[in-house]
Amino acid sequence: MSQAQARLDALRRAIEEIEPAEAARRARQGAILVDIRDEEEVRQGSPKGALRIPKSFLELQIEKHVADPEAPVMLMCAGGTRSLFAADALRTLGFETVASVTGGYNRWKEEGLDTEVPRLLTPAQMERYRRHLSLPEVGIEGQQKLLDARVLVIGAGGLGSPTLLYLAAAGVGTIGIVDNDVVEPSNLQRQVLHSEETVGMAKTASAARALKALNADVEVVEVRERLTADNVNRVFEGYDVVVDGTDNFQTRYLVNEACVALGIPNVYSAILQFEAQLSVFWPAKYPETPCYSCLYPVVPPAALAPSCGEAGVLGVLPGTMGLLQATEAIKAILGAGTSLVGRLLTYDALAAEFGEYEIDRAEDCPVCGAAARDTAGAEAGAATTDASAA
Amino acid sequence: MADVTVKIPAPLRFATGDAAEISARGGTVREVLGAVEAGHPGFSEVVLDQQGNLHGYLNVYLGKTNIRKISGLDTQVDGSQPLAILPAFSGG
Repeated sequence: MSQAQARLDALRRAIEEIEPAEAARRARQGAILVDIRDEEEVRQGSPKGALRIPKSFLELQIEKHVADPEAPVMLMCAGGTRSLFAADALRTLGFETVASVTGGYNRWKEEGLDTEVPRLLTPAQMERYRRHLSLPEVGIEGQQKLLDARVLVIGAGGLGSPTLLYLAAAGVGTIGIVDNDVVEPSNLQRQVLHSEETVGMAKTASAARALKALNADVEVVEVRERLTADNVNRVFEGYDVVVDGTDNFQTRYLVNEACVALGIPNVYSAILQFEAQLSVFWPAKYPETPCYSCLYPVVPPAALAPSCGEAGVLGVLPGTMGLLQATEAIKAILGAGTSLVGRLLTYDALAAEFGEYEIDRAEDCPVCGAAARDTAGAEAGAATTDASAA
Repeated sequence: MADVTVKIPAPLRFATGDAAEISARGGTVREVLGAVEAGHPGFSEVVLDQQGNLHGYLNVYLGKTNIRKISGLDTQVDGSQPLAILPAFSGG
């Protein structure tokens, strides 16, 4: 007897094996069925509602999906052998109730149990996003989230250029770009999305051209308008994340108000000369954290807040900050890591110093404070009442 | 009383003779800002309004913490942490 066979026999004695119908019954009662077959096998079909983690990633990813080691887990491969080895691996990790499905997916299918063809990445996408797929924090599930995500970037300028490029490269499915300017020669010192060839072209069109060249799968929505109180709700509709790369306070406050109202994250950065600030405002998800108006309730006088056009900016500075905005936007989509909410990150390029400051919700904030929340709640209640009456 | 480092951001340096950092003596934030004003007349107007409160378009942090969360301008300082003034920027 080979060593592998001897090991298999030992595993069969140690690990509970259950029939597919029994696995289906336990799944209905809350046990977790994990299809551990490879991508190519799963692409043809998989038990309906099963968790899908290839065997090679099982130990790395199982705890992300099944936090409780006492939860009953049932493993399924194609024929019922690999699942025994996988069950042994999970027991080593501390999972106490692990079973292997006898006959695997082949038996499951033969017995007419419920199956589905899961939505998976295409072979081209698997190749393109391979470096993401290797990360437990992204993986196939995270890449699907990126492909399904809709991100709106306000401004295709210094901050917007690197943000847009990396969002497209990451595979964010729909990218909206709001800008009503045209590309000028003086933009090219920092706005790397544009080129000498696109000088004179609308920035949205120039940006769309560059993004499509980078990743043709990305849907680019050009919004060649200046954001105003009249159009902001229409423009923001349907987006999951907003990246604020604008160049004026009026738009920054408008973006903040709309994001708070819609409950979506506002990934903020602002720059001047050699200095920059970055944060994420998302009080809808993190209730004790501030919005932009909490941080700066008052617009500074023009003399104290010159534009980059007036005071200058190091060309690479918005590159640095725009990439951090893209990073925070991607984290928000994935739900990975620790968001920058509640913290203000500063960067001084001349001093080569990053700083981090705690920022707090202002209870008297007119945008997200207690009074604003009460008003929003009352309006929602009134709307519900109206709808009921109708 | 302690010597405290005050970090001045680029848009406010016109009020400090282009100095990015100033060492000023005081036992509270108010006293430290007053000491900066003594060396750079006109600085206070940039940071404080006519009632002597911090302008709403900037924050002052002692270490990582906004002084509004501690005791405002009466926040005690001992020189172990810098004071950073951070105003709103608009550039993008």
